Amino acid sequence: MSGERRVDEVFSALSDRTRRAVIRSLSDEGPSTVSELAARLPVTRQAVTKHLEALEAAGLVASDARGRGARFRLTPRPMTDAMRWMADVGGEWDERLEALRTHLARRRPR
Amino acid sequence: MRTTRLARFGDVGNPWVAYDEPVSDERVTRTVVLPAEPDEVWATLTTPEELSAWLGEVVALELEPGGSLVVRENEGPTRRGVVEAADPGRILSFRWRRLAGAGVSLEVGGASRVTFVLEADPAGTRLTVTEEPVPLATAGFSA
Repeated sequence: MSGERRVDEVFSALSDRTRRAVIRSLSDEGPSTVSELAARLPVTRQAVTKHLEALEAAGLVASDARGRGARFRLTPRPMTDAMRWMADVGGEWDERLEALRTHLARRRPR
Repeated sequence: MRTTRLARFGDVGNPWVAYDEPVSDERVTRTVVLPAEPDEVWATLTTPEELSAWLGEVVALELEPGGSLVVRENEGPTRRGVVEAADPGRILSFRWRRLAGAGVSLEVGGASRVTFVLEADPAGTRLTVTEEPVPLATAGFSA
């Protein structure tokens, strides 16, 4: 259950375009400070800080220190939960839709 | 005929690679073309006898916004939900969540929204189903 709640948090955190850009930048450039992220992205340092807080709350990023020199890095584990959810739900629909197709074919020979 | 849209896994070991799609791609989407008219496909989505052939035993189904939906999968969990929209032959959507076990071992899964969209197709009906997590604050379940 905690895994599914975490998936909700992850999706919520990733619903923002800028937050996805922050993730992408950390993926491309590695651990970065707020200033470095703000230099790469078309947003202010204040905005970067706010988005990092949201991403940190969802467990998507972590920092090893506080304050101006803190470097933020990705923590990929939560995304694994999200991907597992998608794989599980996708598999369920594959099975159901195959059953639906079979059902329609059986009752409606063509 | 069937499309799967998941977040891209990218290079193994770095799930963030190529994470450049809008978040709408986080949901699960499947599209199938079925050899039946939309009205007929609609019936398979909305009548208990038909649903039992492919989804599960329908314990309750009220086809109106706010109506309840309870489906028991074959020897599997029960899913309990609320209908959000039912436009015959066109769209059906509901929120649901998974319940497994009972009493102290009851497990309640996260809420998600399922949407079926039906479109006429030269070969019959194009059916697109989408399932996406619903934030807890808006899940709105009383069950």
